[in-house]
Amino acid sequence: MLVASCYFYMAYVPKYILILGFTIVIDYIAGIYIEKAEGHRRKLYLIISICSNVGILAVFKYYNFLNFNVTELLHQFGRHNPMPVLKFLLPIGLSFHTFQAMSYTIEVYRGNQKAERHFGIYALYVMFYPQLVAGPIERPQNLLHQFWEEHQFDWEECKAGLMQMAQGLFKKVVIADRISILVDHCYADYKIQSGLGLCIAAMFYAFQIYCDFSGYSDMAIGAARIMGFKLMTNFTAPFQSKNITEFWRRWHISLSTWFNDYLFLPLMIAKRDWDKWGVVFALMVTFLLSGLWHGAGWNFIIFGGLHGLAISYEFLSKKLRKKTSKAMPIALYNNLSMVLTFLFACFAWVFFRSRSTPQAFEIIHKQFHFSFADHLDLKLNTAELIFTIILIAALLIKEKVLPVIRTRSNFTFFSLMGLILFSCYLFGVFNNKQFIYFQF
Amino acid sequence: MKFIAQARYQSDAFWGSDKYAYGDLFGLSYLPQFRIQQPPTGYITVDVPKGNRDINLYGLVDSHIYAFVKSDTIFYGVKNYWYSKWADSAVNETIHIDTTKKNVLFIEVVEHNIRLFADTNHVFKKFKVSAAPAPAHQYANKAGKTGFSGSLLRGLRDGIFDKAITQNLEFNLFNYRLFTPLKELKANINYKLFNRVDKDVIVSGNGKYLYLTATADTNYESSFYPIPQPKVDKIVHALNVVYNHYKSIGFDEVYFTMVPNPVSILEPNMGNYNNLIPRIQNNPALQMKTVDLFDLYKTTNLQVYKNSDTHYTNDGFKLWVEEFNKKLMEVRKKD
Repeated sequence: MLVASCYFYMAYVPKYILILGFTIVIDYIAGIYIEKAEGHRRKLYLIISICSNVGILAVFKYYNFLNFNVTELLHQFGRHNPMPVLKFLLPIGLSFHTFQAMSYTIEVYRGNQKAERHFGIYALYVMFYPQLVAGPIERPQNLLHQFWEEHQFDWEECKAGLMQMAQGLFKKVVIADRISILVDHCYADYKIQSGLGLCIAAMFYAFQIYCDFSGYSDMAIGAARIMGFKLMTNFTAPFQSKNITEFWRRWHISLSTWFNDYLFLPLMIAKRDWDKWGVVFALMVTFLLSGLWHGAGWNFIIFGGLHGLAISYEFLSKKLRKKTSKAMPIALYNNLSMVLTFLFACFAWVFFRSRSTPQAFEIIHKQFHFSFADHLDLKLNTAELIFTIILIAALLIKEKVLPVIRTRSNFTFFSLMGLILFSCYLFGVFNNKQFIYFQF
Repeated sequence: MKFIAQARYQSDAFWGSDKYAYGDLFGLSYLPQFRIQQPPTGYITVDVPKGNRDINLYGLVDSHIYAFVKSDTIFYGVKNYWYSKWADSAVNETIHIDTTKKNVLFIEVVEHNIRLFADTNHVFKKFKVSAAPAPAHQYANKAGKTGFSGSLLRGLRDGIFDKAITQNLEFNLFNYRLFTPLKELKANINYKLFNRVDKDVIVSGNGKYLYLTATADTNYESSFYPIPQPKVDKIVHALNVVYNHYKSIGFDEVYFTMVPNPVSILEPNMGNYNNLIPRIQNNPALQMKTVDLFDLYKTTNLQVYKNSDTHYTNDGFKLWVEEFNKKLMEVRKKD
């Protein structure tokens, strides 16, 4: 399985395996040393491990961003920046496997996980191919022991895994890639797009990114499940969230829990003297860094910052919101909350989807000046637009009514599987569209 | 995987594929109305005036020539014919020409690739020429050397991590003749219901032709991409450099053919045609000799383009051969 994982990773840029190999060796050794050492030395080994991981991230993902900002800053003072611009492709899934590797050494440091002595097993933990390039970002306590266990072929698990993969494929090729036609068109021509068109694109993007990313997660979890491995759930119907705090409990769960466990909680504890402002501080730092995790750009930092502000507001206004909820019918309050949460998420994703911060602001400016009389050029014709809306509605209803499709009888399984795959083929949009989160 | 794919491309059997059977653009779109049986490529009869065959003809070409030229007897006065493909990155040999003989070089490029000529090094790298005597076997190898190059390690790397592996895998898993009706059904739903075709293809205004999207949208290679005059001048200058370079090495003449994008001839009003070919051909600074297909195709009543393919028809090819033979006759007249 390790060989297969290496091949999978090397299919992109073969030489990048050396970078991954470097962090694997460092973390493998660090894990053993952390376990053996006591006192300050434990911390020292942990710091070495974290620095090597963050260092790789800094060089490959953030160097040029930092360099660009230094250049701009020096330019203000009439100075030249001597630092060269580095030209290389970002190693695929770098942020994902780096975070997974870091969670291992941190857990060993905390004493929650024994250091793995078998190098191959540890390497597989970092490189396990279903989740290597786009998560879920696993924890050693959940995954490492599974590599030691014997996995008997289980037809029921296999069926469940295949079904989950098929659903993921459907979400990706039928829904996400269809929506991408509209969104890519609107964002590419945002200067000539109307405000209404950009509002529609922003709302559709929410479903595109969800179907794209959760589709990948479904396929990763399903592929692992077929082989008998259980990966953590990454999404639980996020558009049913009634506030942003709940949204992050349902969206990209493996990342939000990572930040919660390894950044937010330690920060909050460190700043407990600041009372509720300590929580706000921890929230803001966490979400700003979470934004930066997604991409090296101010637009991503703003994206994170907006979510941090929203959650801080929710934290500070708990009592007020409780009062408001009592003043109106609960169903109305819940639905209104859901709509507002969705609209806020769409708004923040404008920064995420835009190529730069000025572009995002220009789009938002246009969106706030929209009119229902605006001309629409969405690239999808009316029939396809209606078809897409039906697909989204069906997905949301399915998530509410039937979160997991169980197929006990083989007949039902094969019939349903055939239907999903046939639909994927017939209605899939095959335009070689990469998964959005592969870039991270 | 690649070898299986190649074998299946060429097979007429049930395990073969329809990807190229009805034109390369049908293989992209699978629109049933464009499932048009293709006549064998390049089989034409040309009236070639009799005379001495003493010209060594060299070509730097793409599929418009190498797929169509079945015999060098279609060329006037040509004794030996040798060509090199643009697309073959593996071609990296030096061609030896015998300067005691008559040597003619022709370069053929499709309109959407013309701007490659702005980089003369690209051309010189592709086609290295030495005036030293040719080895005995030189002319026997008509297709040029395209075999294995590089170290074993590089070969292994290219084999295992072949960039086309996904395409080949997809082709070998799903691209069977028996799936064609299903592909056509999907293409029909997309076209008739959603008014959408494959992203690499555009249906002509009259619905009779398919165009390659790259040639008919608004991007860099398109006929409708605006090209300022300085850029055209740059290409003309580069062509002159290429012309003078090969002439100085020992070629008696160098000819250049630009095959127009079908949309440039059939539907120039689909957008604002940039007139790239006429602007190059009519540029007073141009020294390179051209074989003009643009005006020929504009004025002919023949169908010069295939309906579901990026290439010209045999008639379109024949027009080029006849025009080129006139140029070869001029070379002979110079004696």
